[in-house]
Amino acid sequence: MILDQLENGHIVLTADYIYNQVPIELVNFISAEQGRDLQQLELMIPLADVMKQVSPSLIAAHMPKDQEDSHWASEAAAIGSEVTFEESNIDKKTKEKEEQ
Amino acid sequence: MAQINIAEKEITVKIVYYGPGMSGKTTNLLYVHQKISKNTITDMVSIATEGDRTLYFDFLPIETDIIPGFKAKFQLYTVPGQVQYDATRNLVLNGADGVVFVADSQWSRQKDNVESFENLKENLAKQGFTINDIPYVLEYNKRDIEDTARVEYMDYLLNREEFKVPTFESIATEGKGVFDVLNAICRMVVAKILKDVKR
Repeated sequence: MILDQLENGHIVLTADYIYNQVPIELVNFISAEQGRDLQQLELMIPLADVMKQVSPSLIAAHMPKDQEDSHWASEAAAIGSEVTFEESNIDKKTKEKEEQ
Repeated sequence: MAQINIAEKEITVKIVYYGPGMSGKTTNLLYVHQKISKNTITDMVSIATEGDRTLYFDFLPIETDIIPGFKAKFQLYTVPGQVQYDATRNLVLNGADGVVFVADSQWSRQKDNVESFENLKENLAKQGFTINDIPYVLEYNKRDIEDTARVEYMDYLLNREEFKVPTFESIATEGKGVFDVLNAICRMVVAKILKDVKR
C-alpha cells in the first residue's frame, strides 16, 4: 500500500489499514480533529523515512521502460552555443560585439 | 506561440517558470535580472504581496541575436504558485513556447510538486496541448537544504511522461544552475521554432 502511493509525493494510511497490521493497543489514532470512523482516520507517513528504506533500484524499476529522450533537447544540442546567456554580467553575443 | 516579425527581423518567445508556491521561480528571474548583461535586458516587472509572494506574475524580457539575421526576445514569466491563483496561472501560461518547472527538493514539498505538475498538465489541456507538445525542463531547486529528496525519486515523480526531459539541480538563491536552466530551455524553444519554420 505504501509503494502504491510513492508516485503521489506523500503517503497516507487509514487507521483501518494500520489496525490490520499491528496490535490495536500500539496505535492511538483518536484525536479531536478527526472522527471515529476507522476507514476515515488517516495517518501521514514521513515520506523521507520511507524513501530511505526503499532501494533506488526499486524506483528505477518503476520508471517507464519505453520512455524516449526529449527530441527538442537533442535538437537543442545541435544549436549549442548559438543560444547562450552568461551570468558574467555580459552575454556571449554582446561580448563578441564588444571584442570586434 | 512565438511571434515572428519578418519586417523587424524579430522573434518573440515566451517562457514560463511554473511550479508550486515558494519553490524559487521568482528567485530564478531575480538572479537572471541581476547577472545578465544590461545590454540585453530591460526592467523586471514583479507584482508581489507584502510577504514577497508573487501575486500576479513576474516578467523579465531578455534578448540576443541568436538566429542569423534575427533578434530573439525571450520573455520570461513566472506564475503565482499558490493553489488559489489558478486563473492567473492559466492566463500567464497561455501562448507559452517553453516551460521551466521549478520543483522544491524538500521532502515535505513533494506532494506540492506533484500537484503543481498535474495542474500544469491540466492548464495546458485547457489550451488544447499536452505536456509533450511543449519544450520543458525540470529544475530541482533548493539542493542546499538538508534532507532533500533524491534526484532519482524526483525523476520518478515528475519525469515519467512519454519523453524524458532534461533535469537540473539548482540553488537559485546562490544562482547555481539558474543559467544552465535558462540556456537549456531557450535552446530547446529555438530548436522547435527552427523546426516549425522549416515545415
